[in-house]
Amino acid sequence: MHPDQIRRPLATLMGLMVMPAILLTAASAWSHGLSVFAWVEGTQVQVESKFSGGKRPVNAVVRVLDLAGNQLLEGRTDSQGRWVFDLPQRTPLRIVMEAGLGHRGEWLLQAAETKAAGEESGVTETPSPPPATLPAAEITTDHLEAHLRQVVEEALQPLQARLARLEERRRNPGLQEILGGLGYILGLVGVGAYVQARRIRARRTAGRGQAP
Amino acid sequence: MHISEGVLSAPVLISGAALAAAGTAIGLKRLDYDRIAQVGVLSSAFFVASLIHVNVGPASVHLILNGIVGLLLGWSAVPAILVALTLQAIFFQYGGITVLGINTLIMALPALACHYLFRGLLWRRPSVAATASFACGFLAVFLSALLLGSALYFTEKEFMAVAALAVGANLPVMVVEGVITIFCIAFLKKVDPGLLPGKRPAENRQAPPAPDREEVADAS
Repeated sequence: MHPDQIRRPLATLMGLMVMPAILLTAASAWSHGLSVFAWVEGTQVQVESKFSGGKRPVNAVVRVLDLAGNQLLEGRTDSQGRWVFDLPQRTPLRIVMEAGLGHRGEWLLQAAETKAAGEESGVTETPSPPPATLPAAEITTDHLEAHLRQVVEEALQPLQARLARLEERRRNPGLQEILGGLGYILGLVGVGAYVQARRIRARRTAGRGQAP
Repeated sequence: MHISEGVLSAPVLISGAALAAAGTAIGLKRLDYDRIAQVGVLSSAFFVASLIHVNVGPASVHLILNGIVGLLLGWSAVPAILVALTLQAIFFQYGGITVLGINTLIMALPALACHYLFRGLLWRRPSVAATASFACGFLAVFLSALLLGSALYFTEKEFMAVAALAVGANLPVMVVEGVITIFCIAFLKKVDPGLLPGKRPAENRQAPPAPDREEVADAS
């Protein structure tokens, strides 16, 4: 093989490898892939969504299903990719979002989350935010429970937001995923090269066998 | 441009998978083993390109690069795209495993079309070659958007609206890919013309000795 024939493909490979990398660093955002995240707040469910490019799906259809697949509710996201709905029942819920052009995301609300909220909606006959001036004698366990629940929920809110952020980061591809994918392709090329080498060797030995 | 899991009906998924499998078989059969590295590199480029975001308007669109992949690889583009899409589904959660077949078709069929349409034009006059390169990058994305519309037709029952939306959303991508294709082809012509399909005109074939003489001059 002429040395030029080796050098040229090498230069080309380098060029083709470097080009996406340059474009990549120039690109400000990632894109595609729709992530949906939902959590229970009081008797309401908050739904947040995002394309992995950072854009919020506006006016995307959100459907709330039970585990059997029956549709309970349907709504659309606002300009921030959010939608809030009243918890329809205490069972686990599937929240499915369709943002058009084949984009689809899902989130499962676990039984534990919806059950806790369901219990609270069960005690709504009692005034939900108990007045602070309530005489000590009139503080019933119901009041106390409702009050505690409210306090705990407020304390948990930052945690929920943090979880949502973590979830988003988990879904956005990073360097690890990119290198992983490139590694697999390199591996496949290696397999191809191995097959090719075996063929060439087989052809050579066959040629030698015929020669005498 | 990736269709997510659970959007399409079973018949569409199955026929997509069958056609993609057939295309991959043909692609592998026609794969020249000396070109495996090239197929790998273009598959890598396709894999990474989907992370490059074209930020115009409210839509979420990204580079596809199926035009140049098809132009350079011909039928081998089908396995290259299939591999890249599989890895995108696993690593990036783009698309999904059950929709792999249909997504491969959406991107590989335009790649093939571009290969046959434009491979003969690359060695014409520079202006013609540049126009062909641009058209290759542009048309591949355009055709993909149309295919996306027809795949979604079976569930959304509305071809024109969906296709118009897909074409509109990807219009900036088409232009960007057209420009990228011009640069890639011009770059490859200089660096490694052997990678490009089509026959080089005779005067170009005699050209290579010239750089060698320059190298000798540099060395002395």
